[in-house]
Amino acid sequence: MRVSYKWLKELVNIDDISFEKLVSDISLYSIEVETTEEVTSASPCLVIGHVLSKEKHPNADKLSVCLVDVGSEVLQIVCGAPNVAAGQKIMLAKAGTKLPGGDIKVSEIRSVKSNGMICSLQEVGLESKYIPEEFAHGIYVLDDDAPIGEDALEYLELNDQVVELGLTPNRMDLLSMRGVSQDVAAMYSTTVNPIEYELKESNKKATDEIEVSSTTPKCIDYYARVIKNVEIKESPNFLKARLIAAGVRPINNVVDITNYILMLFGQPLHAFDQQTLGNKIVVRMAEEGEKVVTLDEVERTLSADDIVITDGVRPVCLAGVMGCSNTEVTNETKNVVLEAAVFDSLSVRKTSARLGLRSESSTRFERGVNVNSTLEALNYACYLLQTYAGGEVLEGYANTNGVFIEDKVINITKDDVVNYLGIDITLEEISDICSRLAFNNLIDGETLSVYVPNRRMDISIKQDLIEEIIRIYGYNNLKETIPATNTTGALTPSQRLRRRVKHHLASLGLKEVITYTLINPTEDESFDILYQPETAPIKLLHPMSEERSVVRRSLIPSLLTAAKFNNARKMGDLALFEMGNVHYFKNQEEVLYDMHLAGYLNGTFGNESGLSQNRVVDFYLVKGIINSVENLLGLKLDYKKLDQESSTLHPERTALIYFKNELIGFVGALHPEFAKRESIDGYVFELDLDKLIKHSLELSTISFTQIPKVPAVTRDLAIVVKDTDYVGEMIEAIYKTDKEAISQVSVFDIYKGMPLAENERSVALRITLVSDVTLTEDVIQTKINKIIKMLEFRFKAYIRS
Amino acid sequence: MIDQLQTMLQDALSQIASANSQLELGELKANFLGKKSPLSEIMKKMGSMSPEERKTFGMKANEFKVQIENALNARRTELERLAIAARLASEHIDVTLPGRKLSVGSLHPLTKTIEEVEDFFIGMGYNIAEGPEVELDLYNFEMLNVPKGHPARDMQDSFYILDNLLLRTQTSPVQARTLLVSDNKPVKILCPGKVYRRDDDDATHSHQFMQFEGLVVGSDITMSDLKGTLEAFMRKMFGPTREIRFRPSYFPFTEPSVEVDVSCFKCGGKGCPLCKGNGWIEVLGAGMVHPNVLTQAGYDAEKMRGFAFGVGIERVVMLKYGIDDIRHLYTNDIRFLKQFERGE
Repeated sequence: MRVSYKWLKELVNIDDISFEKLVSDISLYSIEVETTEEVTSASPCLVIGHVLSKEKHPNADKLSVCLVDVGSEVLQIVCGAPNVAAGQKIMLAKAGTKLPGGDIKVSEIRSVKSNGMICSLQEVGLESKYIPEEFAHGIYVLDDDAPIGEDALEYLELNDQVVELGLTPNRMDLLSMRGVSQDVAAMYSTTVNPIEYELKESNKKATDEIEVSSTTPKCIDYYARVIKNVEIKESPNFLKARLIAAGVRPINNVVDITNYILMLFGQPLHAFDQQTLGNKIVVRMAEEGEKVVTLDEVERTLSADDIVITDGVRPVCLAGVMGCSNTEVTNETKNVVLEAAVFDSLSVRKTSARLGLRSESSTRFERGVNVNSTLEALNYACYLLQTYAGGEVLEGYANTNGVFIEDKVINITKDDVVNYLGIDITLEEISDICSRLAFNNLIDGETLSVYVPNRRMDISIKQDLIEEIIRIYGYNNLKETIPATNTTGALTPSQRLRRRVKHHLASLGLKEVITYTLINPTEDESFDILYQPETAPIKLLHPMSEERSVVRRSLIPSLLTAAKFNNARKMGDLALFEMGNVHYFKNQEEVLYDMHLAGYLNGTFGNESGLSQNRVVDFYLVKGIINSVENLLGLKLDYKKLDQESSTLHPERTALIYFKNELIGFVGALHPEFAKRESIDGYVFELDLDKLIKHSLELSTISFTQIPKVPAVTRDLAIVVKDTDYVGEMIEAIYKTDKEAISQVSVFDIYKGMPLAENERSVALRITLVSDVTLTEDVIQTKINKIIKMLEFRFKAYIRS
Repeated sequence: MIDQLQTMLQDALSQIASANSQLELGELKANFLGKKSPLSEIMKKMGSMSPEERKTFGMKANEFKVQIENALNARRTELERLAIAARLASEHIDVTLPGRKLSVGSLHPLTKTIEEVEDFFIGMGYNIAEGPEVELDLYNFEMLNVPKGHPARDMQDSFYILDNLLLRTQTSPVQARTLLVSDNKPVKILCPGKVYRRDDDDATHSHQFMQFEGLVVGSDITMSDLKGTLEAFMRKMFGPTREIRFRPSYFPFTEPSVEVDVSCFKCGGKGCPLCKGNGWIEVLGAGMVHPNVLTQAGYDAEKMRGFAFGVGIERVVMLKYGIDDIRHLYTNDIRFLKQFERGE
């Protein structure tokens, strides 16, 4: 809502309040301010001049030399506008005037002195959409009776400032100048000036010429009046200026008056040409598929949820949204039927949303129009038509329901307010604030009865009223206290573990990324190892683009996007991780989601130049990172070679990760073909973190075991095994030979080549034995022999000599 | 004889002083103090001396012996010192060469800020509550006093999945979910998380962003408590001298509803480009929980009341670190992420 400062000053007594203070106070006491602007600007002013003569410029074809009378003097002005002519009243910027485009100076234009500039409306900053077509490419010409020497923008009332209020769905009252002036009056403890007018009605009755009826309860009320013999012409300056400030383009007096009333009362009006309308108005629901041509000459197909105004047969207006061209007021219109009605908010909202038609009218109907002032708005419109269009207003009006909504009574006590807000305030002060808001109220003992008028439809419960009280009392009067509750706060165990994992990975040198949840469906299919059977991706009904159309089921596609972004900027050697939810449908409607942990690494790890030994990122490095997460969570995971087809993962360098027998993640190299196609190489991993954390939390508390009194013993063992046998299985088997004594089995070397056979490799293992007593060499050897026997038997291993 | 001893002493001291190794010193010790040393030889002859002579000579000989021993010890210590010095000198390194680089990872600035905020509110007795990102219309809107057809739905353009299912547009549904299971008891939670709105991505808009919602419900919560809480929070995030102010606003799930401004931490409120000249920066929305929200969740709104606030985390991060484009937070440029390595 654009609020004109000039108009507001007409409606409420705020002459001593500067525009700047008004704007600041509105934002603190009324509603958010979006912007402020000047409708036009010229400092100190433009003066009204009379062009006495116009001669062709001696040295330029397109320029004229004019003598302009400004009352106190006659000035020679060089003017380039094609439409300048002797006898015109024009707007002159004398030398020394500041305009939005620059300062005006006395100058010589092609050897002819010019003492100023004859102005167009564009030159004082008026937006071109408000400028009449005939003045779009030249100077603005004022009426013949414009007083010479006076302030031109003041004469046009365009020297105005506008404060644009942010729209909130609740404050429908602030969609009218009257509503805004009421709120401003409350702010400054002043009163709104009443709108005074005297409507002279003819002795013919409106009801003799128009009959209105409604067949739908969604037409809450409908009034129509008849105005005869209107003269369609340009509106007076003040009316045009008010509309321009409000952001509405002036058209002609009848249209402008309906818009003026809309802005003043927040009551949309609609004018029909009586000749094309006839003598009957019936409001009804549209028929499904019914077609109308609206004022913008677009044919629209209606649904049974739309309200239409008809002449008894054909629709003549899409209620609350837009009129139809079949009954439009034209320059030939003589007699007008003026509608003032209130329609069901939700219906108008649906219709305007479905047709994509948002107008000043629909905006107001959607939020709710005060039916109590509908007739007053209509009557005042008639008065304006009488005054500015020479219309003859027929007596009375046709009407459907004649609804009047009584004030709502809200009873409130001092304690209600004090307890809710935590401030000290008396019942008298509360009563005073209600009075400032023009709510009748009555103190009865401890209770204040407040009568909230229908114009404030947003107020229906005590809390709504408390908001009004603190708003006007001032939010700056709230205290700053801390709630008196005796709760304790802490992260839950799983929240704490998630944090630990994040911090752990960051400490290892990985960088956390946060990427988009919405990805494209092809990407979403590419890393499907962890996808649950019989689940489906969650797709948006109306995505903004294919790229962001499905809720991801894996974090890896987005990690690769981040990696590609960095690669393209010559930032290689990446080590990224992300923690985020993946989502999927079970049975097409049940939504499941899990917190996943994923990573992407390539190049060298820890390579930041310097004296470090760079570690090339390989499978074992990435696996080592996952192992460290296992340790952190106290879990032991199993790794098995990928046993399924994959177009994105390397079949020989990918492991599926299990906890017990449950698939819980994977780690591997990107498939070389995929890497080539996508121009991205490296290793990825993804883990179902929620499951890992769940299992971790199921572990019993860490329980101290005695530190062995004797030092551990280590023995190294170099065995030769077949290339295709898995060392992981051997290590498992070694542990099993003596779970008590063997505390660790590690691999410290792998060797292939001479003198070993082609399909053999040598694995150097270090076995750590612990015991409470000193292990004798015999005992140690027995244990080692047992291991060797097992390896020989199960893996056909032999000891390398 | 004494002269002979004197000469020998001079000789011994001079040889000890010029000895260059422990080995050499050992030899000198044997030469001058050993059984076959001149001193021993001379001492053996003491038997033939008169008691007077023997006494004098004996004292002298002992004195010489002590002198030689002292010289040997002194030289030994000196040689040890020289040896250590030589070794240290040989072990010279350039201490200004850079240390071996261990890579430092980083947490995303959004994570860092969320943790900071969480820790602050945990300290004030809040618990961290979470909820699904794919949410039912019921929790995202209806239970928050935004029935179907409510004009407030236009304030947030949503990504719908089914008629009743959408990507949550706010973290507020966690409020509704928490209240529903809290059985009219006091609640004090903070709900951080991702939210989604149909916005074109540009410098200040992102179709995905993060929020945290705070909710406190109890029997004697006041709006002044809300102001005190937010003031403490803003001081934690933006400095101890910050002030806050409330401005009237509208959210369907709070009544009264306010926008909250913090006094500009850059200019202190005098006005600068950051605060667009007015000294205040809009940071969050808040209000007293609407009784309809409480009632719908099974609370007795006559006895229980509360406040709620919602903050865009990106907004806080961008203000705090002076980030000019929200997209930096989602493109994950390493050169951007590296700037947040430092612990704070």
